[in-house]
Amino acid sequence: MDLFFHFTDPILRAPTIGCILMCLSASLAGVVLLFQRKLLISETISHAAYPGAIGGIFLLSFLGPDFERFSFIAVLVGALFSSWLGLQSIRWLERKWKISSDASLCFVLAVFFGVGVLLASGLQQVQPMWAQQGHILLFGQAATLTDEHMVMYGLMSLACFLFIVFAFRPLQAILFDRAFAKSIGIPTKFVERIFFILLLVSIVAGIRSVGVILISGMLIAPAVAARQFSNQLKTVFWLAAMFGAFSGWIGSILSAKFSLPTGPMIVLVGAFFAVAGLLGSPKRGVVFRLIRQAAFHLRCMEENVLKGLWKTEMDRHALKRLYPSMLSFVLFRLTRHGWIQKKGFVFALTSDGRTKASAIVRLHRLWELYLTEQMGRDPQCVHTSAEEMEHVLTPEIEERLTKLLSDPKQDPHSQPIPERSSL
Amino acid sequence: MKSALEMDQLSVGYDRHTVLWDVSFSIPAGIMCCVLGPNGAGKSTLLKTALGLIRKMSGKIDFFGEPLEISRSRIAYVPQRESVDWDFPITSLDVVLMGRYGKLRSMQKLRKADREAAQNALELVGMSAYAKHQIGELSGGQQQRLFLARALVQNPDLFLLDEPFAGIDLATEKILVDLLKKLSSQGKTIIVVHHDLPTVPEYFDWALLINRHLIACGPLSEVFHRENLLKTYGKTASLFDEAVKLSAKSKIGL
Amino acid sequence: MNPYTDVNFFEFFWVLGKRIWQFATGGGTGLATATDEIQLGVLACCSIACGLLGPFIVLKRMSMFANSLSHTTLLGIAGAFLFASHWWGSGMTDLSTLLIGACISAILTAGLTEILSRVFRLAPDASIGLSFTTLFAIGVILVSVFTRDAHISTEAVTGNCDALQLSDFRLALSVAMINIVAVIVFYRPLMLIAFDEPYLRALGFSAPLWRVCLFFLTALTVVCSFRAVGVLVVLALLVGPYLTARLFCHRLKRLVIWTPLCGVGISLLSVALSRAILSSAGVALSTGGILTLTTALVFVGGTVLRTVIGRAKPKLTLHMR
Repeated sequence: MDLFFHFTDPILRAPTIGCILMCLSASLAGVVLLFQRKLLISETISHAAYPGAIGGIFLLSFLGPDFERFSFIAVLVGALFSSWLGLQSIRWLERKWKISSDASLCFVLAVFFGVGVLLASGLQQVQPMWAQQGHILLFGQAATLTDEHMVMYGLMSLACFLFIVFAFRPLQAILFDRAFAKSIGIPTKFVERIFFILLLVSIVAGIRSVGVILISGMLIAPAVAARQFSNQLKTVFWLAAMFGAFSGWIGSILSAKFSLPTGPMIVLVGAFFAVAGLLGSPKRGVVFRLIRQAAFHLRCMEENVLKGLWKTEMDRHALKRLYPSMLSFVLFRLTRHGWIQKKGFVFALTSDGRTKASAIVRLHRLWELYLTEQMGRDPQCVHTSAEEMEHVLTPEIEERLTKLLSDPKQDPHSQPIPERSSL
Repeated sequence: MKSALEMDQLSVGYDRHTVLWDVSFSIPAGIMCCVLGPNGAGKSTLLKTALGLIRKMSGKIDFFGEPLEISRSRIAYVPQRESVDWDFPITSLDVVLMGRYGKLRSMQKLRKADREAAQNALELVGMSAYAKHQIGELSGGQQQRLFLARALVQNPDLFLLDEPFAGIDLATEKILVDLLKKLSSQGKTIIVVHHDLPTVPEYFDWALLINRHLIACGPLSEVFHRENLLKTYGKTASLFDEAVKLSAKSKIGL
Repeated sequence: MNPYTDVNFFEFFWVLGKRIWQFATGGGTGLATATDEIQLGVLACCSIACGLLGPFIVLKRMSMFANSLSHTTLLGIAGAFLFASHWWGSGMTDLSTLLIGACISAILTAGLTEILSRVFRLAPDASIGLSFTTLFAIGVILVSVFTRDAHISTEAVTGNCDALQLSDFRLALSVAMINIVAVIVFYRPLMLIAFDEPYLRALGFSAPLWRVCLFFLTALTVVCSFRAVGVLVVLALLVGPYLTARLFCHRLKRLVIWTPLCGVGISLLSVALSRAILSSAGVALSTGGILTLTTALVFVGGTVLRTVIGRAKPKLTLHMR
């Protein structure tokens, strides 16, 4: 019940819905920048928008105090103009003067923002009544968003969404290999121009709610988060939109609840999703990778013990000498799974264990043979590699090896290769 | 006699795939050896791992019987041209003088001997006229010669060159090869990552054939023949590649 | 009485020159330093500090990283402020506390960026972007939680050149001196790490050590400039003078001298301009803002000059980055 209140209450609905919509379009734009490795351009564009916004307010202020309710439009137009100017400056520095993209971004960011600071100080002195409008642009003020903002953000998100839907294939081609896309006739320049317009619009609009300095966070975090969960561009777009929308929603609720500034709160929620993705994503997340690594290591140890016992039964003492690490745990697991059993003081394979162990030994010896026959290796040197490979080779590779080596019966050391286990 | 470069069961993997696997060989001192293999075979990786620029997963590497830390001063590295930003604001002479930085302590000024050695090196490669030019003004061949000059001032016993003949004109290639042969005749060991098979018999004495693993290493007469070349550049090792990739992936939990 | 009151742009230099002459010829006993002069001194020292490091930072493609450092300094300052006021009750003027806080935040930023880049294998732009927006957001929230005073954030971002004191000058001077010494002593490894890091390692130097050194010097410079020009304007000083000097000079050893000089010239022009505008229009504009504008104008002027020379002497090649 409490959650829906944010969507229906006339004061709260604009900030909440507005933030969600704004984050939605920002995150979609962010995905494109992520794949182009140009995320930091959002940082420069947002800072470049600042002087235009202040300039817009400045000009409007001369029209008189009645025009204050149009400051929203003045900010938008001014910001769009100066951020466009910033974008052109970056291009000029990179193309005409061959300055590295890193330095161009930084210089344009600093210069434009500095000019913005200059204008803001002027505004403070000349038209102090209007200066507040400039202040809120630095860190945003979502709480005072109105229904007009909401409608505008809605249109903007729709435009971004439609662009991505209609231009998906060319976009995908351009992001993957721009030169190739151009060579097969895709209008790369046109698509990129439209994208940049949408980028400018989403950044400039986002400044009102999240602020100049933090808006780039809303492009970066959801895109990074989404990327951790998928390799397909389409899925990444959907996930980024979802993460962005959630960040906007939860961020604005939390900020209202704890009376904290909205912009940083939204960015923090977005960053939370990004970190969660980096750590916990099933495919690429660090946590799962560490778990899989440990599981693999354990499996290798278990299989080595099985191999050892395949050759001969051993008591604990002998096992300890050959396999010193974590022996008790390994033996416990092997017994529990039914691969080995204890006969008095001695451990031996069960019949199931024998089958399993033979399969591993088979892989080991097949690989040794492959290395000596097909790869021209010295039989003395192949044992270590086989020790590694026996845990990894799949049944499919085993099948190919068998065929390639013509179902061999002996390994390079004249030891018999166990038969394929009939399943 | 101690071998110039010896590797024992070296494995190098990074990211998703093992790039070098279980490589063992020994190259004696004083010869000119080429490293051959298709794209992605791990040739550059071999050199970079030897120099400690890439971390190895396992195995041993020795130069003249000693590990890298001890024999470093006897080795010179000539990297690929693309590895450097040629718009950097320094002159050719500055680049060559870099070769001496390893031998100086932090604030020690460059001595007259260092500067003369740099001038001599520039002359040996035919670049004296460009000593004061900014390096971006140089052509590809000149840039390559500059890198070799930088290696020369280090006075090394072993030269490691990564694709030095890629994308340069024939005249420059001839100058470089003549220079390298002269060095080799003086007893220096030259190891070159090479990509142009037809020129191998003319330029080199030994060959190291790799394709993610060692195919062969030895004098040209023994190893540079059709069967080995097929194994190196042919497609028969796809099963090997797959298996090796699987192993590397499991180790990092992917 | 401030000797610079009501002077116009050109009179400023005249008064300045006169006072320097007075000071140099020993008549300086009765002279108190004017605020303009303190401002000039601090800005000049910041320009020198930034100008010495600028070439290395731009060449090593660390400019946007310096940007992220400058943002998160706010977090450090805020953290230090709360710490100080909670435990010791001292306020914002305690410089050493703030410096420590800012240094901690610098380490956090660099650490987080490196972790994201190496352990999580994020692309460089994503690592930088994610780490600093997160840390910056935390900083803003901390500030608003504990102080409810928006001005601290704004001031840290924009700087307040007009409230500078002698202690700020001493700080800026020390940083400038440290950078001068560092660049002289460590010129070779710094140059190598920007030009050819693998070769640096092949020679046996430790790349991490020198990267940390460069980072540390950058952090120190950024942190110490925050008070005067705000953390964002210092970036213009790091990058702008180098880009301008690079239009004309292609030797690093000379660039390391010309860049700070260019920066000092820009500072001089900015302070004079700021005073002139105050005198003529009665509006006290932000000197930091004027400084960035001047940097941009000087760069644009440089490009015009470069193009003119290029047309006159077409043989001169145009290589810069």
